[in-house]
Amino acid sequence: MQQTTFRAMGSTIMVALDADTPRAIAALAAVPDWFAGWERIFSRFRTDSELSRLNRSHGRWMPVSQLLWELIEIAVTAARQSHGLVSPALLPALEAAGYTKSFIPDQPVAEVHPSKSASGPRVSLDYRGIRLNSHSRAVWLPPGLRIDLGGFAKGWAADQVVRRLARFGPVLVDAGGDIAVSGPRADDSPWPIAVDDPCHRSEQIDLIMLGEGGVATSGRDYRRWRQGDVERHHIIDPRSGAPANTDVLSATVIAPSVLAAELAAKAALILGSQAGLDYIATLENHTALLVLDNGQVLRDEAWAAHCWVTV
Amino acid sequence: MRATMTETKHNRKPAQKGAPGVKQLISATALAATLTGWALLTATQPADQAATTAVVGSQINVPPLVMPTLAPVATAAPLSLPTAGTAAERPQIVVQAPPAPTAAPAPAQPLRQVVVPAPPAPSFPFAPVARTRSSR
Repeated sequence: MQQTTFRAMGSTIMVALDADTPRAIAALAAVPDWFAGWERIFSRFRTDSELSRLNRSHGRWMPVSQLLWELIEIAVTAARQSHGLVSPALLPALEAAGYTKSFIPDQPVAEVHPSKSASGPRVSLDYRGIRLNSHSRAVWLPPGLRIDLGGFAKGWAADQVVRRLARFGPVLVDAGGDIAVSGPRADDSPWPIAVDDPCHRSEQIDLIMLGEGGVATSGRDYRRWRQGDVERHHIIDPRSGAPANTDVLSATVIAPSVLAAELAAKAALILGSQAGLDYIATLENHTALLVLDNGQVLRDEAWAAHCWVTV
Repeated sequence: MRATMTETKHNRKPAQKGAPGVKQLISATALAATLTGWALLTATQPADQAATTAVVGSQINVPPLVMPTLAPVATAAPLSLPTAGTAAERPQIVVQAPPAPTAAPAPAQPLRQVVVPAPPAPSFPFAPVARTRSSR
């Protein structure tokens, strides 16, 4: 088993490839460069990224690269299917909540003051304002609407790496806790993956056995900070424009792809435990584990089938 | 429509492979109320329309959040044993089975505020290849 670990997209990325041919090793070594290239397109924290240029274009049609087009299409489709719960149009809300810089690991919860301006352009958080022209592969953003792809890019990237490396052997990609696999390992066994306990960081709740698809966790236990007297986190509820305020501390979802898992986990966290589990039940081949802010652990009916040990 | 939940916060100990956990039945009434509430939420205050215009500044002005009234969670049904078919679907990895629990897990309790002591860490037969957690 070959493995590489590096930082990208504000997260720790780990790729495990169950193959040891020279070509497999060379392909594995190229993965950090792939992520660097994707960050140059998708990062809102880089003023020179293609996404940042698009966010400055409001009111003008802007042709975009194939990759940016693909991810924006995915994001808009996800927003539509989730009735707007998972949306790419939340950048103003993230910044208003204080999430203005890329997160640094183990950084203490910092004081962040909201930007103050006496007056400014009116902002929109409505993803339906995004216009897409597939003939010219161009995007139009109304004035006041800006895109953040942070909730989509890691899952998308993990799926891309799996697709590119799978021809060399079984592969697992861990993009900051969002995990995709190409299939079973070389010995035909599933990949053992721990579900971390958000209440006790060094411990785990379950060990799941993943032979296909992906698993992702959305949580408000780590990316959080203080804004004045109020503690904030990075999962914005589009209905309020503020960080989600529900009983779910973290939501872990297993799905046919890690991107689908990422989107469903976020939606479940925003909805709260009861509505979140009901929502997961409507999604084919999805199953969830929720940890509530009082420490309770909830699993839906199908979760146990993926577990090595259910406690 | 399934929305089964198992609550196991205080039972973090090794269990037999294949134990499915407590099955909880949501009454049809509670489920209908949940779905009705969600439908009301999306009809009267959907995320699509709630994300309205606002002035950039210290606060974004949005309409008040309309929350549905959720039905109370039904009491869990007793634990049921796994069927023969469940074991056949399990991944074929040979490890020593941990000792069986001496008592059935307690049924799930309704959601409530509790003080949660740190539970003993569960033991697993081998190290995971990766860990899923909130993005870091």
